[in-house]
Amino acid sequence: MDRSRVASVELQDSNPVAAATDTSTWLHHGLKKRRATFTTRKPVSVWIGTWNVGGAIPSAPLDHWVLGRSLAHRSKSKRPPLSVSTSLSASGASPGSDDSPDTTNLHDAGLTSPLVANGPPRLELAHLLDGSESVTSFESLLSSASSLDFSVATSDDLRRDSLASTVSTVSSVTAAKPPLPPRPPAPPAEILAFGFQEVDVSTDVYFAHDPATILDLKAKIIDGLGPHLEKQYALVSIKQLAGMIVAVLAHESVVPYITEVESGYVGCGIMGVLGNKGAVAIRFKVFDTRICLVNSHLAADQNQAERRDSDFHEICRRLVFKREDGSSCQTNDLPLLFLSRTMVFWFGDLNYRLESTYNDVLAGIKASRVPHLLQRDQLGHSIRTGRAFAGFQEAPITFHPTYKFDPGTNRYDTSEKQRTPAWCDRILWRHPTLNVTPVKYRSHMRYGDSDHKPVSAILTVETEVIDQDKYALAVKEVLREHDKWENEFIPEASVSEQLIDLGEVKVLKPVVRTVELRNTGKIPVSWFFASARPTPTEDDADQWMWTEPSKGYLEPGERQSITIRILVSPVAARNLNHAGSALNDILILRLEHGRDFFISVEGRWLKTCLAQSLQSLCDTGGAVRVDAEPQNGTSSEEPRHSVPQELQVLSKFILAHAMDVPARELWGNNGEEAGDEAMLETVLDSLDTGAPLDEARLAGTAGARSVARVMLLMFEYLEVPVIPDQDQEMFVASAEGSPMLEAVAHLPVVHRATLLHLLELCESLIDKQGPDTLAVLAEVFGPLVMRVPLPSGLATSGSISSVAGLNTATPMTSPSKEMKRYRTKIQARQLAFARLVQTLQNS
Amino acid sequence: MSAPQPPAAGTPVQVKLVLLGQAAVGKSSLVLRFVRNEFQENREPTIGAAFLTQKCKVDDKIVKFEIWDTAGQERFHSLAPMYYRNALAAIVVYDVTSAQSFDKAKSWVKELQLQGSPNVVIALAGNKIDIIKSEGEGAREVPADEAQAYANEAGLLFFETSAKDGTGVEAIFNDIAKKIPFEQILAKANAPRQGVNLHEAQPTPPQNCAC
Ligand SMILES: Nc1nc2c(ncn2[C@@H]2O[C@H](COP(=O)(O)OP(=O)(O)OP(=O)(O)O)[C@@H](O)[C@H]2O)c(=O)[nH]1
Ligand SMILES: [Mg+2]
Repeated sequence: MDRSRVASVELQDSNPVAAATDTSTWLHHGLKKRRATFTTRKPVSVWIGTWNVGGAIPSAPLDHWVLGRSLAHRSKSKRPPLSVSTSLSASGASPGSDDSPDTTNLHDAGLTSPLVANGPPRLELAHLLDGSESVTSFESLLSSASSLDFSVATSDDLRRDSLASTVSTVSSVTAAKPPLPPRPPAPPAEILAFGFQEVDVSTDVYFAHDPATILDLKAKIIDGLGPHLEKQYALVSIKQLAGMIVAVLAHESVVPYITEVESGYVGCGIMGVLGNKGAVAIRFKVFDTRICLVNSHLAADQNQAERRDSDFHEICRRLVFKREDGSSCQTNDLPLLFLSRTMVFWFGDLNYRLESTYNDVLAGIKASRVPHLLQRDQLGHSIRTGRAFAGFQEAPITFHPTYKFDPGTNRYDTSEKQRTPAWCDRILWRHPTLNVTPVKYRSHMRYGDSDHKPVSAILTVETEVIDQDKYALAVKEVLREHDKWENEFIPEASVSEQLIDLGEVKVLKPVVRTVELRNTGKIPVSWFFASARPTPTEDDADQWMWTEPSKGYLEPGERQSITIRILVSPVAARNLNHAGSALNDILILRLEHGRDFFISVEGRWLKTCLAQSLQSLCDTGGAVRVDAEPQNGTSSEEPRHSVPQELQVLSKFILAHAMDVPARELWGNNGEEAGDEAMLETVLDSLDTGAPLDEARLAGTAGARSVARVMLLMFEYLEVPVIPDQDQEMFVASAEGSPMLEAVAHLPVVHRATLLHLLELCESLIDKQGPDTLAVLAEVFGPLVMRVPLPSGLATSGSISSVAGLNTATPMTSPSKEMKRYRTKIQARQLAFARLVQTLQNS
Repeated sequence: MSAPQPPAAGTPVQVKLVLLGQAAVGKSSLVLRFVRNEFQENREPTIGAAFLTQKCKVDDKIVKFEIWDTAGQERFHSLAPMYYRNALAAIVVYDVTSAQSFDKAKSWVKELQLQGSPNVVIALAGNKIDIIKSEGEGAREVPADEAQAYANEAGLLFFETSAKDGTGVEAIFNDIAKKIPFEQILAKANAPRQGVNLHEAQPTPPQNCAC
């Protein structure tokens, strides 16, 4: 079999099972399950501030907002206090006039605890007096992670804070203490996130990023940290969309662990796209947790709660991130914000109002009935009902509404509009598994630059740290699981036999074997023979093995019997005769997307006189199979016989037993008729083993026909025709008589002798059966003695391969030019043969 | 930066790997050890080619080996090209207790280098090293330094392995995975890949401004 062709059958490169259950999905879920095995949690403190600054960068220093205290280096003159004269006249609430410059020095001087980290001025006169600025304390903090080396307040601290907020006016008394030398402030948190709204409300910045504003704001923030802390922080990113600016700073202790900084923005204001409303966001990883900080300014107005809800969804839908370095984000599939493991902080002027009236709210504030007022908070309502911010959390609010003040005062809106005060400015977060513990949540009443007060929160945020070794182990485990699964679903089967011994194989003698294929796997199997030939073509004439079927499909557990048929045609025999006695091939049975089976087919080839050359038959001297001794007579020697012994035996039989069988019946139709296969084998066996023909078995017409057929086969498949190709035209052109005799004299000796032997036989038959016989004999022998190759593209019709019932392709087109030329050639040869016989008869 | 890149986004890079070597040197046993961490004392010879898959993590990439374990019997030699063609990696196995199997391994290496993929990563595995451990150096027919020298010269990875006790089995696959020229493979596979869309620029229909 043709190995090179076998090898050209492609192996499939990939397994469809693998594609169907893709590895990344498997990994994702496997790692999720194992997450606890390779992660540890590390608390990180985050300060978040939000402030609607009302149109301009605030003039007041930011220290109080960020550090919770004033920086000592500032002089009184630098801090413009709120006008003492202002008062909440409308509500009758205590005036904020106590937030005097003196208090600054006062609490910086000594009232702070040793854990200055959160450094809140414990006794702020203003807020103590009116409760409008207070520090939140939480029971939960009792159990909060205090292991952080800084910035997390101890529960003691907080208790003191909360205590402080309930302490009354006594604090103003302590303010009289003399100032002490200032201590440098401690960092408020490891990550600082600033959210500003309405930094610039001029229409021409609705799209723009304004570098000058950003520079100014950066300077403002740095100034707020003061010279001591400024050095400890690095800017992670600052982003602007019109009036919204978000800035993130990281303390030097976490800077090395911040990666993949990305940012994005969504405008959903005017026309649904402009930046007067919307969000700016910064996203990055701290250790192995992604943190997303969204600063947003949602739709305004008392009765626009629904619009605010829809702004939120719009932002979620449209917020996409871009790497700071311009490279793309791998996780860029929406909704980005809610990638399940992202820690989201959402803050800003969310603009949600209180469903109440101006007077009721003022009364509530006056009575410090914060929880009561909060029941009417639109944001709380949206969260509870799932309309927006679903799953978000917020620290308990203990401060008063941060909107709307008469600018420069602590007095709620006294303008004609008398807007109902509300908690517009909020800080929320969301994460499914990691804990966020609020440390502080407060407003900063001392800032009068805007109609909003700034709000800040300090949160202790759990982040995950991945242990690389354990992680690698988990990955390996998950991959192993997947491999196991995948390999289990690779097609599997068993084959009943992988070595088929055919025993002795003879020409034209069919052998049939079967093997059984059984699907032993868990999935259906498609199988095929990789060595199966393409549709028969001329060069497949030497094929001697066929499989049936040559492909199939089996459900798990199903079996299929595959028939392997062997039949060596004379053409195939030619190669085998040369090759020696081994007959073998390997069938490749391939399971699609699975393994291959090799099925070795082996047999002992018994040589045949068919498809030999006249020369070698004569050289052999005896029967082809008997010729054991290497008696290859050298070419110079005369052959032992000048006519192959096999031909002599056959013609002798015909002369003795078949002279009465009409020629047309004896030779006609090339002897093709069913029923005489066994006799044919007998004849061939006798010839190939040198045994005499079994006359008793071959008695009668059938026997005679078998003998005649073998003779035709011998002529048909001679390696070189009796009249070799190059001499044929000479015969075709020669007239009867001496030109013909001359042509005959031209032939090589064994060919000449064989031809004469055949002509003599013909002569005898004509003598016996009459001159009409000539036409029959010429028709049969002409094209055999002078063989013409079939036109290309045509299978041998009426040749031996159709005897075997194989390769029975019919002409693919109606008689072509080529076919006509072929027929003409055949006729010319038939006529030439007739002339040959007549020449002999007449000589 | 200490932050690791989770490979969750990792679609594996498929690498066809073929095992070649004389009959009974332990090709199938090495695969069985690698894939299932098992060993069978008396395995039947492979008549055909077995197909299995196994994944390895290399840095932040995942390599999926598509392993073709071939038949070592000489009568199947002519079918081997079908399996090593297009293979990016090959493990040529010999038995440390058989000098003849080492010669055969060398001829496989030669054939691979002549007719295999141009950049095929080849590893040479001297298998059954456990026998040397249990029976002593006397059982050895292929000195490790000789094999190492040959491997260096021919540009092969080299390991002594034991499918029986597991020695070197993971290492050989891992080291092959590390040597696979990913950039080339990925460049080929992902040539027409789309860029990621960073901006969603579809404005919503005009709405009234509420401020
Ligand atoms: N002691 C020992 N025996 C081994 C080792 N590896 C394989 N064997 C044994 O060697 C024999 C042949 O192993 P196989 O894995 O079938 O060898 P193969 O190379 O696949 O052989 P073919 O499929 O015929 O090419 C089996 O009996 C195995 O048990 C090994 O590392 N140590
Ligand atoms: Mg094997």
